[in-house]
Amino acid sequence: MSLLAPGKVQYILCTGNLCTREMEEYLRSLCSEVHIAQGDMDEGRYQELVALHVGSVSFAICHGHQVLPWYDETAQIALQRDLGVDVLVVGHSHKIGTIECPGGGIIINPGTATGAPRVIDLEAPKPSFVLMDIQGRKLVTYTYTLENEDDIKVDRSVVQLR
Amino acid sequence: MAAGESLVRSDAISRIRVKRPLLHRALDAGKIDVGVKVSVEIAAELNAPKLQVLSPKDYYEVYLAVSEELQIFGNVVVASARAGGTSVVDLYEKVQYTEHVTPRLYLLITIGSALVTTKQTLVEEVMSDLLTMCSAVQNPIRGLFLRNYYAQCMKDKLPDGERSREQLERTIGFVLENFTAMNRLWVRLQYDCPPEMNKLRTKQRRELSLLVGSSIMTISKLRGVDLSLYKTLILPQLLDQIVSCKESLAQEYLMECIVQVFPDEHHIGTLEELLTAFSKFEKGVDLRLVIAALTDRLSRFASNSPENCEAVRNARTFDVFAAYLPEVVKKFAPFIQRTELLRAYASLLRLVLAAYPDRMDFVDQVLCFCVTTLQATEGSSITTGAEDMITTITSDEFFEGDDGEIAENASASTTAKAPGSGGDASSEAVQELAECSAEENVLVQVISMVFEAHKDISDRLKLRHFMAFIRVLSSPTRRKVAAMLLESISEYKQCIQDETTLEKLFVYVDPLISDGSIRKKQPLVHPLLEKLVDNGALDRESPMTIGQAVPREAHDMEGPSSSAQPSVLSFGQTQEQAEELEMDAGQQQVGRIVHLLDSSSPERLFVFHRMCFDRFRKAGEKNLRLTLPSLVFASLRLAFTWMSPKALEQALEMINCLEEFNPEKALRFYLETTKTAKSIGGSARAYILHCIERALVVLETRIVNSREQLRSLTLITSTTTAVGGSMAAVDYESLCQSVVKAGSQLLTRRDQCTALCDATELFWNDETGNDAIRVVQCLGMALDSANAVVSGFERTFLYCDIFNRTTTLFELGCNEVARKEVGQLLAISKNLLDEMGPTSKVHATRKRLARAEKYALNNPELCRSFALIAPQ
Repeated sequence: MSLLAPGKVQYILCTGNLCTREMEEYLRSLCSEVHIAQGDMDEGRYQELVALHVGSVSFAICHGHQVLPWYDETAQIALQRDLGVDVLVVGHSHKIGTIECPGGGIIINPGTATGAPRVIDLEAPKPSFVLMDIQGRKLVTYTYTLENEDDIKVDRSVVQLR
Repeated sequence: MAAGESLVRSDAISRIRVKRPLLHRALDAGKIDVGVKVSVEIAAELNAPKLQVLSPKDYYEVYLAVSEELQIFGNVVVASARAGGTSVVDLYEKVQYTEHVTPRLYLLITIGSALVTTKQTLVEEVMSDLLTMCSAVQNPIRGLFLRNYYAQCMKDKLPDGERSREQLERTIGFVLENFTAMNRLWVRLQYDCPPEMNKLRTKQRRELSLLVGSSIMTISKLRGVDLSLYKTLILPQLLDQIVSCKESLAQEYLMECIVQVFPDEHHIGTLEELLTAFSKFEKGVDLRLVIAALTDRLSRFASNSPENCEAVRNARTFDVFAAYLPEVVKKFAPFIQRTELLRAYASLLRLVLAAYPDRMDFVDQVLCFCVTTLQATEGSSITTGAEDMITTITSDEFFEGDDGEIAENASASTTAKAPGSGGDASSEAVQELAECSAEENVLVQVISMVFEAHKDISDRLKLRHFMAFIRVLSSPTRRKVAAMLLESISEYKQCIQDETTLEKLFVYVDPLISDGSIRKKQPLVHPLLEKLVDNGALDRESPMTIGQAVPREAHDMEGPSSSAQPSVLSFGQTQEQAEELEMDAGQQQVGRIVHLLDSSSPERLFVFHRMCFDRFRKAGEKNLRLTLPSLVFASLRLAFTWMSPKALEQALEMINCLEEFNPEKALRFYLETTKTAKSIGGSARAYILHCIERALVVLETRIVNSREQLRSLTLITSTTTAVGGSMAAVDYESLCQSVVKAGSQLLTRRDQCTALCDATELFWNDETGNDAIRVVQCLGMALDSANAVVSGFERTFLYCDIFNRTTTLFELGCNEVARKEVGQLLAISKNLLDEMGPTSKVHATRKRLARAEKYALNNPELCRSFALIAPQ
């Protein structure tokens, strides 16, 4: 995957549960700006909530297990609103997806980069990640999903932030 | 002396240059007789007694000047003969009467060469004649150059190709004869000097080596030399001379020459001869150099094409090496550093990997050779005195056939005395330590090459001598190698299909698995290191300077001088932290064994998990913190996919073990188990309540960090909600009470507030139904906690949390929560903020409040319930 070569991306936002230092080191080998939020299985190494600005767009990263009820859209939108960020990145569900918030801004769930199943997943989820191109207040989002062995599905969407 | 030498040399050369016009004039005038006379004078320079002070290199320059003039003379003779002016035969006869032997022979060779060129006589006759005469010069330098002149004049006139085989053989005979004589003179040069000049002579001889080597090259270039001729005629004579000269420089250099100049196919066909010759070499020969020359050449050859590779294999190349090399190494062991012996085997390994990618048994044999070499030589310096638990586990039981020899040897090495015992030999000890680290480096290189070439772990497990191999390493290196066995697997393929293989893997990576327990229970101290410290050669607290050579156990030493001050490495890490990290990485590596287990049969996977658990537990409970999590996860996954309460039970047993050493993980795994039990259903449902209760107990008894307590409680809350529908209402109710109670008992008011806000979920969800009264009650408790917070700023923050939570609950359908009291929190907060200074935190909170308010104001229903008044 040529995208995952060092120096290709400027920021990495990760929703946690890396669980090993090795994996973190791998991410840090790809670019210098690596932001990781605390996952429920990480051993207290990161912040529960990570906030940052990229250009004029504000981001928050949160693993998502703290957002009750789990996987609930209303609760996630409430969090995004409470934080007042343009983009909220959450994980936990291992399911890739994007929510456009009614009050402006978006919530992105990049899914799982390794395709690790949760204990109670019947089938392992498809490995996925999200690549974002930020042009001023315009966000171009590409979602990459590994459908089969070599078949990568890429979806592109554009969000103009207010 | 040097100045005198250069004077002698330049005088000789200038005398030659002075004679040059005389020679040319005579030749131009057709006066061959005068030409002969001048040529003799020129050649006589090489015979001048003064020249004896010259170094071979200076003599070489005079020789070059002479041969240049003689070549010109020779060319004129040829031209003149062709023009019908001169009888070369007569000339050949005439120069025989030259007074001194050296100039006479130079002239004879020059004219003899012209004879051959003008085809006035048979090459063979001339060659034979001249060769006989050359033996008249026995001074090493003079003889060597004379014979070189002979070889140079004849090399382009040798009959080959179109001649008969007999002729070719005779020609080769001449070249070999000259070679033999040259080599003798070359070797004699070494002994012809006083002992104090020995080193200088060796250097000088090295400068002359090309003279001798060029004969070998001449033979290799003859057309018509096939393998059989090489094998039956050429090589035996070459080797005979090389071996019988009993001189190391000659043996080393000439053997390298042979390896370099003859084709690969010839080497493959004559390996036994070559290796036999190696075994007869003198002790000063750089064995590694000659062996590597041969193996590297064959490795390159084999890598070039599949046909070449096939040729190498068909000749049973490895078998020959395996049959001869250990003997050679054994013979040289007393004279050569063991590092060099090991390097010789490393080069053999390269050949094996290049030509036999499928032969793990050959790789294994090379490992065995390395081990035997280390054990056979005295004072195994690598082995630390304390042989730890791995020696008690023998790998042999996993292999059919009897191979007890190595195991015996291995245990013998454990009794080897500590090297360099006694004396104040600290510098000696340092050197020895460095040497042993050099040996280890070679061994690590060897095993890295193997792992690099054989990425599949099941192949790696075929190495029968792996255990013996790592047994000769020091403990830290052993761990490193064991980690390498696991880590360089490109992908974690499920390659372990049976219990024997898994057991074997445990044995192979035992140094890694047993890592921490060894460190903590009995700190190993390298005997050498101990001595160094005792001698004051190493300061215990100073950063390590010898790097790898110093085992890290050294830092476990407790002593009056080692204070609490940790030794500091670069990057701001203490040595201890660095070690800790490295150890953790190793243990995580162990944890990954789980991914190697074949999962096609759940029954078997279940057994595999049991085996892993037992083994990890045996290795010391401290490491379970790192080794167990992946195993627990895999076991839960198995329980879920297999729908098996039995597997769930096994997972619980593991989690139970984890409680003490990693309570945070244990708590989370209990919660995972709960969800798994719910998914399995049936009899597994019994575990749902049990596991949440266990999680609560862990929270209460083992988790001390307040931040972690809140974090854990949040997870307990949401998990309880998620599984609540699958348990009896009374159980759920009792759990809810416990969770709320735990929340209200957290250390800080702030945490209480957050936990109680979270706890509202217990009473408002799709799983267990909705109970608005309990939600309101819970929120009321959260508000009480918030009200009790001293800091005004923190209080505002919590009010905002409560307001937001209420809004979300309202949106989830719980209308009862939106009450005037909650709505007022916004106004109270604003007032509180107004009393504070204009810090950025205050500003940010004000904006947060505004966001919450704005959202509520946009919702008329919320607005009404909260009794909010929209600003006009």
